[in-house]
Amino acid sequence: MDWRLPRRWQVGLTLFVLVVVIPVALFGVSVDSAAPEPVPFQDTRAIGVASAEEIVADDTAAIPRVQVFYSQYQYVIGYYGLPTALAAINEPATRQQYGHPLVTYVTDYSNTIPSVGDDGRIDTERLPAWTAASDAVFVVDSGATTPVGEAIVPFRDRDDATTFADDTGGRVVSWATLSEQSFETDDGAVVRDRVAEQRADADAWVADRTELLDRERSVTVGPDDDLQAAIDDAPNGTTVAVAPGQYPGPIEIDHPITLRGPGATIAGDGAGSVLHVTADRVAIHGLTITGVGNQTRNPDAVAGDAWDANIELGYGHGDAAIKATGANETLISDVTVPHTPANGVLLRRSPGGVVTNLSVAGPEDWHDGFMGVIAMYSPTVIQDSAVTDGRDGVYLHRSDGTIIRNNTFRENRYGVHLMYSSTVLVADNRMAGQEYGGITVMTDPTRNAIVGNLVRNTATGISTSGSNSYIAHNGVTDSRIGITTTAINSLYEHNVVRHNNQGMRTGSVVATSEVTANDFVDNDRHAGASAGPLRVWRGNYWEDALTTPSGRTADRAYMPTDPVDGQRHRSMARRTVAASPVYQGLRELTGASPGLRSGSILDPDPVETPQNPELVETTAALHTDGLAGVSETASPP
Amino acid sequence: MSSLTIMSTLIRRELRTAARTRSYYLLGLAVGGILLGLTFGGGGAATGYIPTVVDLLLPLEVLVPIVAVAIGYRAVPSDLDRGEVAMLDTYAVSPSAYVGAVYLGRAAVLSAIVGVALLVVGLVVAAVAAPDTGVFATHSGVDSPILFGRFLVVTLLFGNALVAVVLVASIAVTSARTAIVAAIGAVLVVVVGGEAAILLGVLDGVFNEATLRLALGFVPNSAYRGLVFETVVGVLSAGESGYASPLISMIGLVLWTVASLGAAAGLLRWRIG
Repeated sequence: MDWRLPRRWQVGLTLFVLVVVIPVALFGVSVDSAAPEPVPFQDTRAIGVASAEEIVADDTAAIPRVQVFYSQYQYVIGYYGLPTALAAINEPATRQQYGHPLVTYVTDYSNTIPSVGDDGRIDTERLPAWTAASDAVFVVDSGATTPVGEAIVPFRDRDDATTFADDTGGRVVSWATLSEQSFETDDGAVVRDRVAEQRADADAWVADRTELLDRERSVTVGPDDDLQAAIDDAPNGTTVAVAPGQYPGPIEIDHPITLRGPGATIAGDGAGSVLHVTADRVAIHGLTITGVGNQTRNPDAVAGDAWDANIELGYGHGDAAIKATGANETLISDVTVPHTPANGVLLRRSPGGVVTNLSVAGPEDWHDGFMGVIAMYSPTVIQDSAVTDGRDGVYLHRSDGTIIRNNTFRENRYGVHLMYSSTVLVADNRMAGQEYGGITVMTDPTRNAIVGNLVRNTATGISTSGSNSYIAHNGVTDSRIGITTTAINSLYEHNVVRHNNQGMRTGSVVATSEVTANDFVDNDRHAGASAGPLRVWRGNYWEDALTTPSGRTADRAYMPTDPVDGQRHRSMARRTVAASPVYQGLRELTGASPGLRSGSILDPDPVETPQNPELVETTAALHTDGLAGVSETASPP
Repeated sequence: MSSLTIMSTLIRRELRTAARTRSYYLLGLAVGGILLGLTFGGGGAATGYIPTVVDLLLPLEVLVPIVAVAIGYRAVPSDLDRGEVAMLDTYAVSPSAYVGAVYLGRAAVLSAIVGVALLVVGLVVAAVAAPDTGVFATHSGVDSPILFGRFLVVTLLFGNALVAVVLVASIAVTSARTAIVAAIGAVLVVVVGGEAAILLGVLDGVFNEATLRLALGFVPNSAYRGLVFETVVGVLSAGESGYASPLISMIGLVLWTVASLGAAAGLLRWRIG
């Protein structure tokens, strides 16, 4: 028997399927029915802790983790801690950029036998696995904490949750309840509001240390006297005055005195550090220091077994003109180091210090030198100082809350180099000719403020990292890249970038930062984008980018990364291309799916006039005349 | 002969004519080339289907009507000029059957040209769309070929409604030479006029949200755009809808098709009768 349908039926059936069944089915099928499976946490773009904390908390169970697959975002975002995740998911900017969560996974503490240690840390006997957040219940108020705040602990198994809650005095809540609560994280704007306070704190900090200069004089030392003996004999809390002249080093100060000597030079023997401070509240004022040793590390040093022991050994044990170790609240003022093949000032485990009006010069080639000021585990105020020809002008390691202001850096590798340091304020510094970068932030710190700095002629003027930071009122000229926007969840405002190869450059696949009211002037490319979604930067001034043939400024969105738009300020012919209906048609809706776009920047509301006219003028002078063209003390905005 | 047999004979005749018309192949190549150019120019294809749809939507609003004019304007007038319509009359072919057959033939041509071009674009997206970096784990979000399929279907619905409009306009004038003017005029009235009317209505405050959505459904371009926003691009944001009423827009496009074909059949009956 022939089972084949007549040919006419075959044609009819095919047509019916093509014209009716498939089209109807396309509209009938739900598009977000299949939820993706969880991925290993290290493969996500993880948000929520600074590297320093991350390393400390490198135990999978110590911080409950979350991963979210957003409807219009290609990258899986990981969050440390439920509060971090919930704050982000509920943020309107997140919705705008990423869409809604298609599925959210949390680490499941069922069957892991969790307990809370005396330090509040969660400990488990087995590693938690992933489970969908909607299938889980959560224990709050258990007293468990993480480096990012209170721990909310997810369980797939309600009985396990109840047991944990009973053991710890917590309560069990559902995902729905949790989602309705409001969680907030400090973003760049919070840091902005902190800057004035931090300046005032620094003023008070400096004023207090400066009082050390008022100590009564107990002895005056001349070039023929034994300086070390005079220091050793001076009573605590007095001043040792050093008459002009040359004194042999090295010298050690092991009790709280003030060493004061305008015109005096302490000359080391070219080996080791010249002045070594080992006591609290020592002040060194008005000295010139020479003869510094050339070792940048000490093979005999011991640094314990902390995660950063090797960093300390590599950077924290070199020779210095002045070395302070375990010396709190040290004041170093009006000190000159005409040449050092190693560090100028080294502060190790010496918090609360002030370095002011220090002048350090290194070898011509930075490879032969080391840091102007290096602070390890030593929050410090470093101000009104100058470092030339060193490796880094200022190098910080785990010195949260340091303030670096009103300094001048010339011809170093980096002007200011932040490692594992959060809540730092870098303000009103001037720098020119650093080989690699002006201000360079590494290792994902949080809540840093970089404000009012001027940077000229370097590879990357200001290179950011981490999160929740405030980068504002800076001017960068004549550099390969002006400012990078790698720090996420941050605010970049009122900066001026001019005469750079690239004014700003995006550096993170997470587009949660606000970039607004910046002026882009005369850059080869105003902005460039690296891998990641479309970044929406609102309300910036892109010089000459939107001028029309009639001389007016077009009122429309601008895409600095676009080959046509991006060169409008350099190519008149591209303005003709940009006016084409085809181009405009293509671009009109580009912002509709930012999370699914790649490698580009869009300013939907570019502005017609510079937002920071004074800084635009200052940077013009910086461009033409270098640091000589700008005033010594940049005025805080 | 049954009317179905007549219809299928006529449709086959139309398809044979189309298959022999070299300019259609050129048109197809041109449309494909333009769409691919726009796809690469827009950049959306690098990451997925929805960004591609977003890039192509506005250009297609212009391109599709032009293709409809190119395909449809000569169909009936040339038959009229050659007296073939009168000859069909002797075989007792009704004007409705004739118009229906011509329409289906031309609609098939438009569907082939635009559909194949979009399919190629879809395949390109499938082949090239990839995240910028492999450092992090990635997924495709709600983006899916299904959405691109919807876009294709809605685009064809829009294009084929315009083919019907072109047919009725071309019958309203006396010769094949003037038919193109009439066809372009009609498309302009529908495409630009309808949009302008809506815009005026909005400016004068005639519409509220509900009536505006209704009105959008009855202007082909607005109906098309609204459908794409609502059923393709809008899917990105859960709970965000109201760009258009999909049902009304769908009905609007079908009504334009059916009403135009009815008018075309009536006009033809009147002209040869």
